[in-house]
Amino acid sequence: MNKHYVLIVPGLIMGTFARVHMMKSDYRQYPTYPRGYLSHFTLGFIAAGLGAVAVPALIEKEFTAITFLALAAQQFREVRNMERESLDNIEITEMVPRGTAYIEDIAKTFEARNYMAIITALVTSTIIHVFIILKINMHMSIFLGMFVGLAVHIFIKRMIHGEEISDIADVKEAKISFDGPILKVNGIVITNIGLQTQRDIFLSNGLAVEIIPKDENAVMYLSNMGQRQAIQHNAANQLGVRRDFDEPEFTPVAKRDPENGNIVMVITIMKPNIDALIEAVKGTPLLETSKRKPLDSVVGLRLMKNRKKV
Amino acid sequence: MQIELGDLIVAIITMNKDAVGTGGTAPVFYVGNNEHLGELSEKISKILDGVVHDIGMGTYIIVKH
Repeated sequence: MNKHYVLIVPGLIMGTFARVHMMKSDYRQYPTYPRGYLSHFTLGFIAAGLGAVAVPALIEKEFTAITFLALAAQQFREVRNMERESLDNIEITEMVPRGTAYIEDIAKTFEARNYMAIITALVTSTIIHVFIILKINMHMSIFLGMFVGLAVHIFIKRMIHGEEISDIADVKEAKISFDGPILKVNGIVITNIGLQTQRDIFLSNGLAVEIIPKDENAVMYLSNMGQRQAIQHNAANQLGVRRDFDEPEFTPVAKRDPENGNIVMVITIMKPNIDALIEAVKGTPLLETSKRKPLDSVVGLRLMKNRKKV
Repeated sequence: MQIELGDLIVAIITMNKDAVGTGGTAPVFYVGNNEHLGELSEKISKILDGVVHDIGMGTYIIVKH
């Protein structure tokens, strides 16, 4: 039995490392809750353990042990539910809500990270086992196994790392103006602001940006309401929205220009800084749920061809 | 479970009696001048957490979005 520790321990270490490494990069999606870290670290450790013992179980011909992986999958779906519920519950406390699409995206990400811990641990122990069978020195096998595990982790990390708004669109400063009570950004009607005092706040503390999609796919991404809500949340979260719960008129609004699919967003900020706002908008993750690729369809290609002819 | 009303006119403040009829779900407040119109609208909107919209003809509506 002891010989299996050579497979289990490095797998466990690499799987847990993979989970912990991903925890560092999620500051934007999740506040730094120490308790959240602990629960995710523990779940990551369990995931790594399940991945690491799979190969020794097969060696011992304990095929039923593999069914535990199915159990693990069920368990990690629960992680998704846990994250979703938790974020849903705090949604009403947010000054600018994340929106259901963003929450779903975050929940999916957390589930995927546990699978990554399993895969990293599984690959590490498999590679070590293969090298040991090939009669390669044990220390060398462990080193190579951990190296391949690390490479797989980095590969998956890159694979699941989503795009950002800056990848699909340009973000530029836009002009806020009033036509009587009508608030406009670059000529697009946003809303009706009745009181002069509130209009003055929009003119003094308001900032606006125009998000210009780079292609037709991007137009579809940005038309998604969940994506727009995520942009508003990110901007408000990073810059500090100038509003309280009893001032619904200062809620950030992102509207679409129906002619060209551009998005204009207006937000009131305590210390307005347009460069910071553009940076926050550009850095907003592109939600999986908002992804559409009309250009990959027959219809999309036909429309593009027609456009080129014109 | 919390049930909230959305996109509903919760109050009407007007200087123009001809523009607004009585009845409906929202109370109507009549005011004498523009200054009073703004002041009263702000006070009521703060109580109801609504948004003041200017619909012209000397009439503001407070809407719960």
